[in-house]
Amino acid sequence: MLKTLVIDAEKCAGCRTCETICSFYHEKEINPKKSRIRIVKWEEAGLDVPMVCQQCESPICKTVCPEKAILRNQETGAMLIDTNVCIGCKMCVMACPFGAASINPDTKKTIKCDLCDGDPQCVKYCPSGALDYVATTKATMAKKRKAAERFGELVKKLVTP
Amino acid sequence: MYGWAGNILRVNLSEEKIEKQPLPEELRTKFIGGRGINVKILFDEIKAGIDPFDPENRLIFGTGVLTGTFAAGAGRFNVTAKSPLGYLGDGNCGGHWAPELKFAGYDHIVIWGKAKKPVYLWISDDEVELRDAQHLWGTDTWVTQRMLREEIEDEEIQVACIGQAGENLVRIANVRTGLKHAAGRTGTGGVMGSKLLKAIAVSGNQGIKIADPERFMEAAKKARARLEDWQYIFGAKSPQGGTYGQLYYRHNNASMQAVKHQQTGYFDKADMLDPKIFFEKYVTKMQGCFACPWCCTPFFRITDEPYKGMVGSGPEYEHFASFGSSPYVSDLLTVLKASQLSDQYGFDCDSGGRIIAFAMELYEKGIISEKDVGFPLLWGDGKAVLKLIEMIAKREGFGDILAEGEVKAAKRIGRGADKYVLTNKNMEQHEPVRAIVGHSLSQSTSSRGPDHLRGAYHAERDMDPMDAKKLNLNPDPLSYDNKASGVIFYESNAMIADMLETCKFQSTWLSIHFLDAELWAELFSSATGVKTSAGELLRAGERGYNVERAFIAREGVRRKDDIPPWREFEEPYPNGPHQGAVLDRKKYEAMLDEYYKLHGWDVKTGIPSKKKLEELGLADIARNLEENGLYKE
Repeated sequence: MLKTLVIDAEKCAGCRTCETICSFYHEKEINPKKSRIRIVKWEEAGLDVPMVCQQCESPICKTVCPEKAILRNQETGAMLIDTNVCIGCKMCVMACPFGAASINPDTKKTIKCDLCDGDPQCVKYCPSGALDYVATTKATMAKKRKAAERFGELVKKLVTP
Repeated sequence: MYGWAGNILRVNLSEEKIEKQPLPEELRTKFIGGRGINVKILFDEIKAGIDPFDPENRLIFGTGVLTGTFAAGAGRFNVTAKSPLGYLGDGNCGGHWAPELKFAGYDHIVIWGKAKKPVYLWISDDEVELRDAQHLWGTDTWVTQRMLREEIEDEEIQVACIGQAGENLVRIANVRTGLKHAAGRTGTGGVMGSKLLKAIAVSGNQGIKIADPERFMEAAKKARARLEDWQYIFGAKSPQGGTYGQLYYRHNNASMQAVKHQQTGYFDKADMLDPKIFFEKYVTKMQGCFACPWCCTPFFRITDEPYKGMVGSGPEYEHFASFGSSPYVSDLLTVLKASQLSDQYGFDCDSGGRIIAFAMELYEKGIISEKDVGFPLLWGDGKAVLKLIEMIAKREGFGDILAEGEVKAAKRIGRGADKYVLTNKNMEQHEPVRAIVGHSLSQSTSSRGPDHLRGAYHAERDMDPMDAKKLNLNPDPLSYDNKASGVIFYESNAMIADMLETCKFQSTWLSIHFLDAELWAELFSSATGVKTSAGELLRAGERGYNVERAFIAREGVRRKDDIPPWREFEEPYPNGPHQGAVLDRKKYEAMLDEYYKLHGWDVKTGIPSKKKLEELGLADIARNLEENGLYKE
């Protein structure tokens, strides 16, 4: 069953646990600059936004890759980079509208989220519930429910004598 | 190197010389990191009796082995120097600055000398330089960080800085990072200001290498699993988290709330500052320090006049004790504004709140008047509190006197103000402790002056009696029996947390169910590849604490400095659940004897014995104390 990485920026605590786990899982060292997920902050507004590959349906990264190094994992839906084929031309880095493809400073090749083969580590360790990995068909239900609560409050007020 | 970054950065501001040196093995083995290594360097490199604002004073920043990892809350660092109050300057700070320093490749920064003009230190891996900060001088900590991110064109840099309080050598000023994180107490921000160093901006591009990744992952998972439930109590998933949400009423009900300069320990207007109000009305979400599994910092936006639209971070329980109960203020918005001001000015909330309460007591007793201050100083006057914060931070008018700390302020005022000084080792008394005896011992003996972050006897407040029994702790707050050994237990655990630089709240220092010496040893060994054990870590904790004790002894601290202020013995609580409680001087002295004996310190003077120091592998410290004449007494 296809799942989606769902992000709720309103819940993000800006702790960056995801950045440590991601880099450690993939690179065996702790280095936020090698993490596939990064938190973008506006400190004085109290805003923390997790930014990660959106695993687009029509991925621009795949389109621009001259070596066909980016391919879909049919099980997880993730776009994977074959680092053996990748020539480090950085066309995908330039083209991605989310900045989700970044450059590994050691290998100089592209790194991006691969959904950890279907068991995303960032989701596991996020303390605030800002990251979730849910069935694609249910991905927006939590949000719908939260918004509906406001309507529910109104109805309760109207119905209760 | 694994775990540690492996380097000390040495900065001589007078000669504008910067040097990267390897972190010596002896320091790593004996003092582990963070606060432990910091204080050893401080002890070795300055002479007794120097003026804290002398360029020779060291200002030392220290991270730990676990800083930057995901073992637990791992964003912490210590700032250590000789305190402008006279003894040990040391503060522990959270946020995101410390990991960035490790990612840049440094465990510690040792700064001395004095710049010719205001500067900031820029660190980007091996690119380290001093840059002009004249345009930043005079700005508050929020503005400083914003301006540096703009001019360096990098929103991801982390900045540790001082505000106007540090620049003005206010003796209780802090080093700050983020919107609210502070290396609290003891005025190390003033030392930074005396060196004309405005900020340290860091960008790190390297990684922390772990010696045994699989084993470390298992240990970290274990640690986080132990902490998981408390997200719902203390952290992001709690409706009322953090220290304010969870500790406010606990302290009041134990009669250890600072009220009217310790005239009592029970705040009868506590309900007006009920955390529920704050959380329901103004908190938008919780935020967290680096890699923290809890995230206990509320971010708030005020929706009521006169501060509609004002945002802020924190505040902690301490802000409510400092700007609420201490000056007897019961207006929530005033306390929030005061917290924000103290964050922006880089002004310590704990010390600041007590000093303001001190001034209000002097006014109450007729020792100072409206003429001295410029306006009345009545208990509960929120506007007066806000004005004083600004005056102290800027050293304006009467604020210039209060900026000196309670002891020096009393000397300048004269007229019998001395009587109302409630300090210990020149630092403002933290909490009244008439009904919580173990805390009276831990706060009064604490190496940096009275505070709750060293030997705090948590068994008296939070612990399940069965847990207390397991650890041989006495949870009865009114008992003097078997308290000394517990204080030492908490001291060592706090020291380990500060050496490894994980959040001490997530350790045995707070609860038996969190990270303990065993798990810390496993995390340490798997991260560094260096074998250690729970016993060795506890030993290192004791060792580090003895260096702190040796330092303050060398500066003149003796037995009389380990005794609570007179009010704790002479004025029974006038109200609250422990009305009538007061400390018993004879019993306290006996408890202090026991404490010294267990520590291996001289019972008459409190000086660590040569034998004890040598036993702990501190023969060089013992020699130094001997050269300084401490063993002649």
